[in-house]
Amino acid sequence: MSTASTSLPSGPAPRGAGAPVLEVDDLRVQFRTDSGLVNAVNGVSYTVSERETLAILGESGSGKSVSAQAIMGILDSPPAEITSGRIVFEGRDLLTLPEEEQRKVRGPGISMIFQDALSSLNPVYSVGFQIGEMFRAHRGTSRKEAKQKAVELMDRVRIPAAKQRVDDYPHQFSGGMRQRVMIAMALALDPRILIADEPTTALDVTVQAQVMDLLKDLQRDTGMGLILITHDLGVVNEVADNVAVMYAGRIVERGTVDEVFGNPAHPYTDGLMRSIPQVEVKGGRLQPIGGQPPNLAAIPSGCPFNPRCPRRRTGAEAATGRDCVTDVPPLRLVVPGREAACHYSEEVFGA
Amino acid sequence: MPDASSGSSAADPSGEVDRALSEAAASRPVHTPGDVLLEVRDLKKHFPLTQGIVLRRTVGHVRAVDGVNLTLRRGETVGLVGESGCGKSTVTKMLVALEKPTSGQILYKGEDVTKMSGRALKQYRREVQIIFQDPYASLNPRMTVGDIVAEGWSVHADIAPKKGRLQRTQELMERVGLNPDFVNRYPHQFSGGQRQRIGIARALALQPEVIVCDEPVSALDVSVQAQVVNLLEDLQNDFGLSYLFIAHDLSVVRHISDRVAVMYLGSIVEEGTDAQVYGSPAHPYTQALLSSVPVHEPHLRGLKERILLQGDVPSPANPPSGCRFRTRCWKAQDICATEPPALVDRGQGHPSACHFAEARAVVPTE
Amino acid sequence: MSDPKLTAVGHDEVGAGGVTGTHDEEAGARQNSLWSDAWRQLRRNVLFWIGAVLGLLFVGMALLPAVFARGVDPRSCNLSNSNAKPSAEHWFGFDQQGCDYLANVVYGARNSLIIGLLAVIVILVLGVLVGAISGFYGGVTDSILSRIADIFYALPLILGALVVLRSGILGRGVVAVAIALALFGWMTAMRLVRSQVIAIKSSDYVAAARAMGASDARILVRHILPNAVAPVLVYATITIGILIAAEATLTFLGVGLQPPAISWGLQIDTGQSLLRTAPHAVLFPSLILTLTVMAFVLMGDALRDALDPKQRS
Repeated sequence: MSTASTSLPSGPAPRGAGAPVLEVDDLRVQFRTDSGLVNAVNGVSYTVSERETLAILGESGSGKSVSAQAIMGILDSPPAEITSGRIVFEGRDLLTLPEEEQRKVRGPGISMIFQDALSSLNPVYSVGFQIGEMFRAHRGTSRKEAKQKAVELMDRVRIPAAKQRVDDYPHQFSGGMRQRVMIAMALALDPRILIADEPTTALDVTVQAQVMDLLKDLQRDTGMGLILITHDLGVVNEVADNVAVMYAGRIVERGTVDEVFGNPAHPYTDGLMRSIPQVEVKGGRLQPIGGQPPNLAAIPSGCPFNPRCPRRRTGAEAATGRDCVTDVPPLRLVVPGREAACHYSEEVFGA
Repeated sequence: MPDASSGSSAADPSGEVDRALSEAAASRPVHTPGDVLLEVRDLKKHFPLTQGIVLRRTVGHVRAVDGVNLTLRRGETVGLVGESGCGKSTVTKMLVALEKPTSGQILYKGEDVTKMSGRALKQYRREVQIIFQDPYASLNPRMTVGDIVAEGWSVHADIAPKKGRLQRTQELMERVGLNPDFVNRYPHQFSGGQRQRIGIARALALQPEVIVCDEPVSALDVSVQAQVVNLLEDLQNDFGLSYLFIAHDLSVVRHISDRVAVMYLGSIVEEGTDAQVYGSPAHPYTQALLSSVPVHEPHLRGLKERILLQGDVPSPANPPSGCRFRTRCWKAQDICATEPPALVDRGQGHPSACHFAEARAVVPTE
Repeated sequence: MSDPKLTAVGHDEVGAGGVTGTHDEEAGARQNSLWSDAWRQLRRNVLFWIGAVLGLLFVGMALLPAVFARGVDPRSCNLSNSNAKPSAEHWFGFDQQGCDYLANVVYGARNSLIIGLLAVIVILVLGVLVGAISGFYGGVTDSILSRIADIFYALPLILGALVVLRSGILGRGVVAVAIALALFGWMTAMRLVRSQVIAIKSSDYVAAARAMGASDARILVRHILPNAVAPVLVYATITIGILIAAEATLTFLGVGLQPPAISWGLQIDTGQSLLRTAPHAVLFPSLILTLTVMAFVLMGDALRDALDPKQRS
């Protein structure tokens, strides 16, 4: 696992990527609940560089959000517990730093925006105050200056008439505008990494397009790395450079979006691509992935995808050490620049 | 719908379902449009806005639905797309008689539903069923799956005699892809996709002619959505159902629908077959909507025309005069503010509600 | 994917996914119903067990007082023992009349519990009935019923019951006290039920039932009430304790039970004048009263924790 962690897809250079900023190595997170141990993240590793957009694609219960919350240090523990791994930001392992120190590093360095902008904003303060708060808390800026900066930021995220709206309250904004306010808050301290957790899931498609455009432009201007957590293959395709596909708390495939989506090497990715209808053509019958996403309290043995996998091989038909029901497939290099966690990736890849 | 059909297809799942599935694959998407089942004429729903607690007075109206016309024929699927707040959910509620229209007619087999009561209304409700969006909120947590599915038979006792109900419940569960042994389990023991199947079985139990599907897959995981879409298609073929399919996901709507209507701020702006609406959209809003849908194929990225709409949807409490879309439209002229455009064919081969309608291919076709 | 695999999809699903929730990442294991779920939760709550054991103890006292009184008759008294302090023979000592105090306190449990239970039943019936009608039908019906509840709210529980009992319409027996208390205590239950019903009325599963043509009665009985009942049960459990205390208060004030009835309120009332010479006469009935009230409050609290929907997905 650790060898895989450091090797960023090295095939055709990802669009505009620079030096690595954030490195997550073999991260594991558990939840202790009444009904037993829930393994939400099981050895996840990835690297995000300057100007890179890394999409983390997964369904509910894949652990995609939990890994991001671990990076942000906002996991509720208990019940959550980071059992192993490193989160290296600008050369320092956040998990070994004392809490106070962690906060000083994360605060300005890594920001996060959430799916539900309304519940992430405090309804009793004006948006200008909440954006300005970032400057007052971290930089000790004066109240007046902070408001000035808030207006600038609102301009930057293209909220019309920012000067007039700076004193408005969150409920006076539409969903798309609230998401912009949250982006403005996240950008206040010029973060090196922005984590966007399903930023457009609650928005309509026309507004989603506006917000994704904005994020792309902001990234180009600031050079920050963007971690985009989503379940939407279309958004990943249109916005991201690289993609890590998660299933049952593991990364099952990783590479550039063009390659992973163009020629999947894991049956799960392949199944996802086949199962969604297209807007361009009517197409024939959909080809769903059978079964249900796994219960993280009872992840199947061997390859977690094996109960749903059309290419599952077990017993006599499996090669030694590559029995899908008993042997856990490691995330391994399939072709240069592409990793997948499947014993039989080469077959999927060719298909 | 004959009684026996649900029983026989479930009794022999291996053979029967196989055949049904292969038939389904062969017969789609060609449908022979049958007679008109459901016709909506100039449907309106205005919710009063009130002020004051003791002395309530009406200060205005939210025009949630403002003049919608729709036709649903036997055996076909009509898709209704629109963004949040466009009024599509209110249309659903009126269609299944959960909400009374302010004005307009809903004609079912020629009879006006808005004037129905008593026995006629009960019969209508049996024939027109609904599937809800949220599989977590739409099942009573204190009832077993078996009770949920069979509840319709307690209301409409003539459908299934008391004796064989358990068996028929299990057949229905089998038909929608649930393990019939789970008949005594409770909803929270199932995943989202399975719960949606329970909701589908509940609707099917009444042997309806029409099922109104209110965003039936949008709350489900991507990998499960296709399972439910396929199930809906199979059931349509087996039982000759007609669907009104309401969703905001344009790809799913295109996949399942024979005809598509696009809604914006309480009224329909464009209507036609899926090929007409998606292939040569004539209304600027449809064009913008289609251009905003992210494509998931890398080789199609960037081929699509980009139309970025500015601003937000205006409030339905105070909609713009004339054309509802004019505040965000790049084609808007003086006439758009004064004259609401009618939903008619202006030479594009299908009706659209724009004074300056003009067919334009937005999504790339391979 | 080949065709046979496709057709297997529907059944695969069951095989792979009989397991619970993908909804939240901490989904639970297999359970039967929400009630058995709550019971699992309850079983592990220490406070519940403390309450339950205490509660059982007092119910035992009410049912079999002779056993708990060690066979002593509370009415066989000997004045020479007047106000004697507790001893190894007589754990609670004697009262002013020279009666064994343990026996008296034990025999007092029956009246207290009967009044508490009876009053709570009346409160539940009134509260659920009025609350359900009010919440379900809304509009004018709701306005009228809610205003009536408000009028009763204006009179505090004890004051209202006091006025009714003093008027003598109902007499002074156990039933009279219970009804007097229930008459001024049903409003909170009604409001609880009403707000629950209003919330559940707009849920999708009620819409589904309505869309299949179910009658109002059916919707209310099958869908709304079973889902509305949990918080009311919690409230009722806690209220039993409060009502028992209220009964003691009324009796203490001289409008509740009358001698020769045996009741904790009467004992505290008689004991207060002897506080300096025989403090145990106030101490023991008060202690037992407090423990009884606590038992029900503890059980109610534990029940609330177990039924709290926020802890479920």
